[in-house]
Amino acid sequence: MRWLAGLRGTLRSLFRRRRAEAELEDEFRDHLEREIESNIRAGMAPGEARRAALRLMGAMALHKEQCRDWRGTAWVENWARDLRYAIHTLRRTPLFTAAAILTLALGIGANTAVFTFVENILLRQAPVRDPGQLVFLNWGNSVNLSYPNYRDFRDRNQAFSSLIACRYNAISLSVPPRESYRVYGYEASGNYFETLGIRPFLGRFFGPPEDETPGANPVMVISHRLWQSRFAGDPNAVGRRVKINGFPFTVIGVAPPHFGGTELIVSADFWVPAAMGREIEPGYNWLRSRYDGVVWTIGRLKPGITRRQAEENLNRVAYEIASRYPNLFDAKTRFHLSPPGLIGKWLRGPITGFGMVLMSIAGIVLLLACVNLAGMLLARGADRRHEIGIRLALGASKGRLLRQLMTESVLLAAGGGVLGLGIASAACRLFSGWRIKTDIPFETALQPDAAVLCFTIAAALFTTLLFGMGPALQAIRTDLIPSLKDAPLNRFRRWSARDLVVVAQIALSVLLVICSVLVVRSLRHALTLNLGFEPRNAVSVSLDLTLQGYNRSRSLSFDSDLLAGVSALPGIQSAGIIDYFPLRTGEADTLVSRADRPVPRPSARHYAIAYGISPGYFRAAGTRLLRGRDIDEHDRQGAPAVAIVNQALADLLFPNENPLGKHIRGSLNAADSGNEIVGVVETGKYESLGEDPQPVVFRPIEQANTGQVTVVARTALPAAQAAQMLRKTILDLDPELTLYNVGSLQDQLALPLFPARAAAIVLGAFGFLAMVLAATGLFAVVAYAVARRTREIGIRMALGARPREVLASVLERTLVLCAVGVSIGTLVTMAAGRLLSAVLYGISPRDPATYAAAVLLMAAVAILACWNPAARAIRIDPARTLREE
Amino acid sequence: MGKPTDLVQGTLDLLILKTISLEPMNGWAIAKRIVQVSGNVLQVQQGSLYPALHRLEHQGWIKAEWRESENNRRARFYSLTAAGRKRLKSELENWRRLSSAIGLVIEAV
Repeated sequence: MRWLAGLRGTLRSLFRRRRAEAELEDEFRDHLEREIESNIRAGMAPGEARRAALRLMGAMALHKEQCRDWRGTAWVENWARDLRYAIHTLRRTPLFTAAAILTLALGIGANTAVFTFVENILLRQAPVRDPGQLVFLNWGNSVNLSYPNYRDFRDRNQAFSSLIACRYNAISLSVPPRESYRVYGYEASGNYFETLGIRPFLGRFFGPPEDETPGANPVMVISHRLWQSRFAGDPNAVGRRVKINGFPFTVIGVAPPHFGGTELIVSADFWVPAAMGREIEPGYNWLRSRYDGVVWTIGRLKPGITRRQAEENLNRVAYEIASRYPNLFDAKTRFHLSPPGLIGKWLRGPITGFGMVLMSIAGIVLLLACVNLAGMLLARGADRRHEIGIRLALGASKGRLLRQLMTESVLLAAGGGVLGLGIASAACRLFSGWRIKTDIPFETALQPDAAVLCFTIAAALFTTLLFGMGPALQAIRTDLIPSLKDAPLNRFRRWSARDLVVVAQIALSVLLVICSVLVVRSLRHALTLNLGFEPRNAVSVSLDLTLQGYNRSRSLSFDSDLLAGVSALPGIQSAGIIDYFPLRTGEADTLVSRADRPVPRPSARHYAIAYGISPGYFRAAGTRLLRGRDIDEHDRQGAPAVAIVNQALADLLFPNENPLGKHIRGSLNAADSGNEIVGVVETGKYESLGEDPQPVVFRPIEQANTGQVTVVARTALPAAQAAQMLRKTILDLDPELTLYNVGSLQDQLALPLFPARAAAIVLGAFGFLAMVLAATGLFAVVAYAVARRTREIGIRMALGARPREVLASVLERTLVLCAVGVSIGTLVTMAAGRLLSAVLYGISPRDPATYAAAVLLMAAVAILACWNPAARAIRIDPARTLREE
Repeated sequence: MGKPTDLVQGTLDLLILKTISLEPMNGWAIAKRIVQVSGNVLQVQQGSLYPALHRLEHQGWIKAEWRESENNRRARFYSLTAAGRKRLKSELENWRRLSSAIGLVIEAV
């Protein structure tokens, strides 16, 4: 109850401050009057009575202040006064304030932007029921299971309340009045929606009964986005008849807005029951193929089951299954569960790594900004020594002064935080608006939310403590006497806090500049890597014949008609077909082994990427043939099976042997005589730019047809014109086909280059930011140091010092500090190099040229920073400076 | 008279509570009463009385109100609250225990 009375008193006096103040005055006056009267009654003269009363009263101002403290509003009033004072002080030095806020804003903004990225991609969970219970099944290094295996795991495990399978796939969707187009989405097991626990926006979802009989339920759920874009938000969309790859389906429901499946980056626009797999992909019965890993498996853990227990359970089930199917599982393969959202380990690993690098670099930038600001505040603190000395002498308590100085810092941090939030949201908008040229619906929208806001506030408070505390403590540790005499403290021979700041500044900048230069150079390196094809002066168009129900022989005759048609076009130098073009999605893996050796054990097996190509493909793509021959029109069905391998595969299976004429097997069948190697081509990049050399086998499409077609044409014509010619040639052959990835090879590199480009841009920006911060920080500190020494320089000049000597003395100190900073920065970077090597390729983390460049750069910045103040120093007119003091 | 005896904070509180437990009083009267009753031994620096009064008020042990005093002057009168009365009682007991304990120690030789 007492605290309640206190609180009431506080509130009351807060709102009646003026009245409380008047009452306090009245009370003291009343007391004095009574004392004086009493003294007069005791016989004193009025003057004497008054003096005695005052004497007995003591330090009245102090007592009143103490009374105010007990009003309970003191802290609010003091705070308001501090705030007013801080605003006033900051407005008196607009340049300093602007520089400080901008520095902080850049640091906080960079961190907020990076945090938004991390929070959106790594931490945010799919909009489903209890997302924390969902796990993605990684099996060894693979994120895929075969559908029959999935069903066995689903039925035999004891750890999951349910297990769903989904296959991300592209389809050709035709909604009657309009032409067909390519859409990505899932063929999902029947328990998909009930396991995720979401409700339809319109209509209904399909359930397990509709996934029982293969081919029986041609039903389709569409995403809210697809409903908006292709069905124009038609409320009668449910019940519409559409065609998927030529097969009739019925739309039964629309998913809620923003739901695109559990995986965040690749979002889905449709869902159909997995039992419809054969109708969607005619000729490929993955529903029954025990050995083809084709589906992603996501499970909901039973309550109370840990991931470790679930993994153990899955491993046990895998062991049971393996005993029934020889050569299926390797004893060493283990299950690993990861959160869904980034396709198991497949994207989570690289993105986490990239996120951590970004977070640390952004953290260092913020640290640098703080150090910068601390330097500026220290300099300013020295300027205010006089003022602070006076206030201390007048009896201000140190705590009070500290609070005041910190109020200024908090104000700066608040300004920096607000501006930083603006910078971050602008950066995120820029990133979200960045559309990659690909037809896969990549979701890159970054949405700042409450967590981001909290992060920014925390970052601002943290920086306040970091940059504000040191200088504030330093400022109030003033010796009174010299500061009141305004004598320059001639103790700068000793290492001062400012010197440490300069060293830290330079060291951090060197660290950042070296890191960003290394990463940017490594990425440039990656971009000029040998891709295994020549992206310039070539165009390509992709299509999927299986989507239109082509069978094998129709596919083959289409391929040869297409090739003939394209080759006959004017301006086309060469043309060829490959089933899946490298560095896009879709290519298949195959087992490769030497046909002259027995079938290898599971743990000793090698896998290669398998492509199907037509004669002339290598010429059109610009891939160099190293040995042997290209395939030709004689390598057709019925002729001896042949293959062309890349150098990496030749090195893997036939080290120090001539691979030409040898046979490789793509199956576990010991009777299979395999394909004869007739040629070897250069090793390129197939899945990502950063990959290690991958073994690849190319087989003639006549002998290994998938129905996938990417026609590549080499031409000197403008890409748009050549692509239009290709498109016309194809549609003349079959106007029903859906074409995708139409354009120059260079444009189509946008997707594989995206991570590299994004990293280069972000890290380049950070490196530049670091340099700007280092330069401005250094400039401010050095300029200030010289300004403080103006008087000393004046005396020296008056005593006959030559300009060169003065210049040397000014430069010397800065350069010593720079040298120390650069050395520390270099050493730290070298120590951190091992961490960095994870994200670098084609360049050593201790690349000497980069180090030399960064060190020279920092030295140049340092000299530039102190040149101007130094030059000003020697132009000082001794007489004037001495008079000024 | 010598230096006025320093009043430790707790003691001043006790004196104030005791003094106003008889009747509501204004600050000046409290100071006078303490000096007078103690036979001029306890000298309160009058200014420092007020922070103590305001603190006790904030703590809820005493309450203050503006009242007419003699010859039409207004003064701030302090009086004990119920909590203050309890507080005074416990403070007094404390004090008696403490002073008798100190008495025992210094008399015993």
